[in-house]
Amino acid sequence: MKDRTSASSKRNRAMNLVLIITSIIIFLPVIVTLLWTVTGRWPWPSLLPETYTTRTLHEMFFGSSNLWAILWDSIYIATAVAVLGTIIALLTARATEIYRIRGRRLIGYSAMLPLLVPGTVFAMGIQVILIRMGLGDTVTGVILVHLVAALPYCVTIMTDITAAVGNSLEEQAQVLGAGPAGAFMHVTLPQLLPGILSSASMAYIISYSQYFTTLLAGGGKVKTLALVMVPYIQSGDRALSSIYAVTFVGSALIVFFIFEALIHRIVGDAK
Amino acid sequence: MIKLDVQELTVELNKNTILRDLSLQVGEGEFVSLLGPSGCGKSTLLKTIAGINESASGRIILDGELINDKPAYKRGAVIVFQDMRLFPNMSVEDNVAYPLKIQGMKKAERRVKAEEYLEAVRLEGLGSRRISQLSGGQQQRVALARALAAEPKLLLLDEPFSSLDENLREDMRKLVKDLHRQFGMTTIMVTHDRQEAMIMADRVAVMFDGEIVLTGDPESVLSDISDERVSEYFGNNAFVRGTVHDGIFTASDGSGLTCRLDRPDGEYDLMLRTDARLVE
Repeated sequence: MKDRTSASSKRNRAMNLVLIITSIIIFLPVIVTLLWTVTGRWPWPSLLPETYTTRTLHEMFFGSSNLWAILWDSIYIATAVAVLGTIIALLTARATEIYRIRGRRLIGYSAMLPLLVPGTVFAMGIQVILIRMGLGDTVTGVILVHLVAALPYCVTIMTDITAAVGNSLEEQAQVLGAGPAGAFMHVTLPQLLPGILSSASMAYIISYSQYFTTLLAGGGKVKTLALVMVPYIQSGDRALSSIYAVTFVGSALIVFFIFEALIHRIVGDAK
Repeated sequence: MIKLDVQELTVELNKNTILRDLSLQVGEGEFVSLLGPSGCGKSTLLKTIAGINESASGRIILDGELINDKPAYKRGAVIVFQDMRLFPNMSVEDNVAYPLKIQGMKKAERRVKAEEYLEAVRLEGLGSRRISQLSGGQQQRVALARALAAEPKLLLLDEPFSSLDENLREDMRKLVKDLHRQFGMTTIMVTHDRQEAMIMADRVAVMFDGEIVLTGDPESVLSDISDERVSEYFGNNAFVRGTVHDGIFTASDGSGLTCRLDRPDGEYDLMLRTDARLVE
């Protein structure tokens, strides 16, 4: 009995240690980045910055970078990619897993193709097509290119969850009198919710962090946060790089919370 | 009056023929048990009647109307599945009220109705619970209440008690029989439990290999010997090979078994059943 209690206590201690180490790995870089956003001077080997400044905040909000417009464009593009990518993935998953259409395996493999080709290669090919279609240097063109990059992940997530949920509850709803759309909205959609959130979040973050494809498809005219961040990082201005990084992560997290709240509300209304 | 008329129905799934020229008639308010071994096509028949499976040929007529081309949600034939298929995102009350919501009933009204159906299945006061908080037997009752709330023209029960233990099965059989009396709903119940089929049904239809080979009231089905498969299915039978000569059967296995058998001379299989009936 005593042995068992002692083994359990040792296990708990080990678990706590793992938890602490994981927390440090996650939060330490975040804390350092937050500190850097207001750092004037932080020479080695000081543990904390020597001087603090509001230069970065001033540059961000009142400088030449026009942060709000860039932030809005980035969120708009990434949200469009998240919504379109998840809808396309959901339809693909239902076609292959529920309706079991012919050639479903081929469709599944095709959805993975963008992963096999390096992003820089397919972006250059797509740029030519976009220019021919008159979509070069446009937000629509950027959304389309980001969509190609995000779809393999969205399709994988939605296919797995659609296969797991199946259509048995939908069949039940239909024999109880619900039409196909009603049965899907009332019964299947709530079950797919975790997958929809994962797919939308994944597509969002993929689009939000695209640099080269945005540069190529947008021709420098379509500016996103990732695009304006890179020069600061390359120039070695750690304070400005950090405040862009914090804005990048913070805005993405806010949008994720909004996604979650919206989807819960939609599903709640459907119920 | 005929409620359901299935005529020469053939169903193919994945290029396999599951039902072959199957015909079945069910009268208004009748309780029919579909009995047969696993894989004989009983559940496929229910799903085809309900509109979940498509038929390759044949006609399904419900209330005098051909429903082959009607989608499931317009047929009015509700299935209670073996796995219950309750909606996990809804409370017990919302599950029961779901068909009423589809019909456009107002929230306050459907709450009252849902409570009535829950009372009918002896689950009053449990409406606010989550499905996961109920036992298997309670979940089966919710599935029944939900099906009744849809007020179907035809209630289809697909092995509804197979996941329950023997005591619960007994309770559920009684409950279903009581509900059938109370609501007078035309019901087809699939089962592979012979005893269950005999106890509950007004009429039993026995299926083998995608065909209905025998229908009748429980007593007549039990004593019918016209189909060897059915006889074998119903009893703990033993077959003895032998010959009949001058009206006397003699076993050829050397056991010395003999009996009178009013048959022309020749080779026969004698089937012995536990109820001591001697049949060909």
